[in-house]
Amino acid sequence: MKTNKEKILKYISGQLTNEEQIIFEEELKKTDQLKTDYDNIKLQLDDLSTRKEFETNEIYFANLLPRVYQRIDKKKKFWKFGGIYYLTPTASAVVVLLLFLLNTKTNYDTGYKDLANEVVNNLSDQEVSDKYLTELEIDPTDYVLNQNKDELNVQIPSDLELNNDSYTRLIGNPLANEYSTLRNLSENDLETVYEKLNSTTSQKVQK
Amino acid sequence: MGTVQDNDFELINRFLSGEEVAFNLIVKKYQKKIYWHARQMMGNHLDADEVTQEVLIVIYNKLKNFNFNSSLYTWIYKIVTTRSLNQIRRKQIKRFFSIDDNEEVELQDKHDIIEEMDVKEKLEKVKKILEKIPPKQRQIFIMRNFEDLSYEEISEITGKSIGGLKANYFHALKKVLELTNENK
Repeated sequence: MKTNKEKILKYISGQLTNEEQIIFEEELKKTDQLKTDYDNIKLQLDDLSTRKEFETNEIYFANLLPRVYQRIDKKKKFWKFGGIYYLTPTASAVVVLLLFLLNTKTNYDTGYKDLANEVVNNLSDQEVSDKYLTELEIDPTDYVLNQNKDELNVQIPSDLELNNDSYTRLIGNPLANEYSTLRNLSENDLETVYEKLNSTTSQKVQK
Repeated sequence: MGTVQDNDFELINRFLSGEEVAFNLIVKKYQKKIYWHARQMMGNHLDADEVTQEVLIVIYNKLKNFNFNSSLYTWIYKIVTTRSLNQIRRKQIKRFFSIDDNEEVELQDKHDIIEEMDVKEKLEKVKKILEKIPPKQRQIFIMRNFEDLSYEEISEITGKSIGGLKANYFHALKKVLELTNENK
């Protein structure tokens, strides 16, 4: 049946070449099993598609056009009168948000991207957590638990280059959440971490 | 087909010259086809209604850009298929974030325009099968089985190659048959 089924479906879907089609039709006349399988499949498909349009409540179609016109008019009126009242506050909010985001980004963007690239691509989470972050002013664990609950796993900048399985590590490993503290480090701490990471990474490369 | 196309072109020209009644005639002519394609794709009345209205609004707004290279029927079909697929995507995203869909199911039952029980049951059966196959396979299955469209017509509507469409239809048929046997 399985071989027949494939053949029949190829025939129905028009995937056979002209020659194959002629051979199939000849076989269909001669082979009882193929004919039975073909009829069964046709029956099943016909059962699903016997009627294309069912009888419906005609009131729906009678009311469709007025409803469409209502929506068209509403849109026209919106753009004519109402739009400005809705769009002005929305546009202002967007501008304020953009300014805020741009402003926030510049505070940590300079060293952060390079540092994060080093961390993500060259060092293990455990290593970073044990050797670098714990010596700093902010305790990463406290920070993660108390202040940053909603931001877990979302601190990876979109322009960060992920060369290996670092992304999986970041998402899968809870320790990875500690990277979120990087953006909150003071300039001095950031500098310290960066120096240490640079020397460790070059030592690793030399080895 | 030629006369149908001529009539359609005449209706479009009348609409473009400011006769709104020509738009009404276009709607009357195609509304059921639009609705039933959307209904089979979406599987329920409320979504089909939303798609149908959206499509009619698009037709109203974009008819001025109609270039007379294809038939109106093909042009409308392009809009319906695109809108239906978009609505499915929207629903999938919504479903991903929502916890409970029971309320929506009840709402859809209340608003259905099908009154006969046996028709409702039949549609439900078809829906249960179609919702389990990928939207693009569902689309070609509907166009071939319910709307009797040729591969050439479907290719013009979807912009896909005929070979690709045949392969898609083959997989759709295979899945539909498997699901039909499972549901027996």
